[in-house]
Amino acid sequence: MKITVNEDENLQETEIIINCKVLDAAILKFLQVLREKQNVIMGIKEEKSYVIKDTDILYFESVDKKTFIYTHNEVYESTLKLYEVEKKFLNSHFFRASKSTVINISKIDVIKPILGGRLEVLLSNKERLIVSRQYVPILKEKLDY
Amino acid sequence: MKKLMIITNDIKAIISMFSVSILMTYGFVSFFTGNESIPLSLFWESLLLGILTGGLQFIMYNKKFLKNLSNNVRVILHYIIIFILLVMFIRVFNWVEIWKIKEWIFIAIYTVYFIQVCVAFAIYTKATGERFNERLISYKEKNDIRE
Repeated sequence: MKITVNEDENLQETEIIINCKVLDAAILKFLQVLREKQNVIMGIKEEKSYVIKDTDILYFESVDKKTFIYTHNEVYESTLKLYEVEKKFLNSHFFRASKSTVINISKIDVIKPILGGRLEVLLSNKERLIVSRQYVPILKEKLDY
Repeated sequence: MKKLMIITNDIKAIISMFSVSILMTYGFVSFFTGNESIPLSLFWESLLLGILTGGLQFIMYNKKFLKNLSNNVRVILHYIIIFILLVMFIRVFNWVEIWKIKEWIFIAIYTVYFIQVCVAFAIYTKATGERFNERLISYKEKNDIRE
């Protein structure tokens, strides 16, 4: 397999193009590895770094300018800002739910409207979070409401 | 500061809602009582009532306060406190005289209005919640998300 890396300061985004005769098993495996890399995030806990898959994440929360990653059993700190998390997972199951949280839709069990045009979501770990009124349209769009 | 802004915004919305509804009700009742103008004092009185009821609404339905109360108890307590507030306003500001209706009719209108708002909100919550949860299930099926 021939690999070419084109380094250009003017490029806005990193792009990988695969030119092949047939999309065989080896290339599919390679693509799978690449996709998995895209859907992970580094989390720090007790000075150790962990690779966390997006499918394990319930939500992200920003507290005192620090971003935390919540899974079923653990809480990790992320080096990314909340808006960077939002951008990274823009095309996945995550959505901005308030100024301080980004929630994984796939981990929501129940959605309940509450006073003030807000929503309360019950996550799979039985934790309840609020979707602010201004972010309800984003969830609606994701759900094709 | 951010929280204060959000709280202020919520209270402001409720105050506006109450004040406007009082003035609209006055306008509606005026069709029958023949009033052609609204006393300026009534505007300030309704605004004061709006502020009190807005603050009350915020306290009653905010989960940070009165944590041990169930939703039903909150609604009943809310009804009773507003009832007391209304009676106080009626007596202190002679609203019955301004409105030219009997006191019990005023209270009956309030009770019907309160029940109507509660029922409307319950229906809205149920219908919207069901729709959201249906869409959530569809989303999970479409994206092959398993529990």
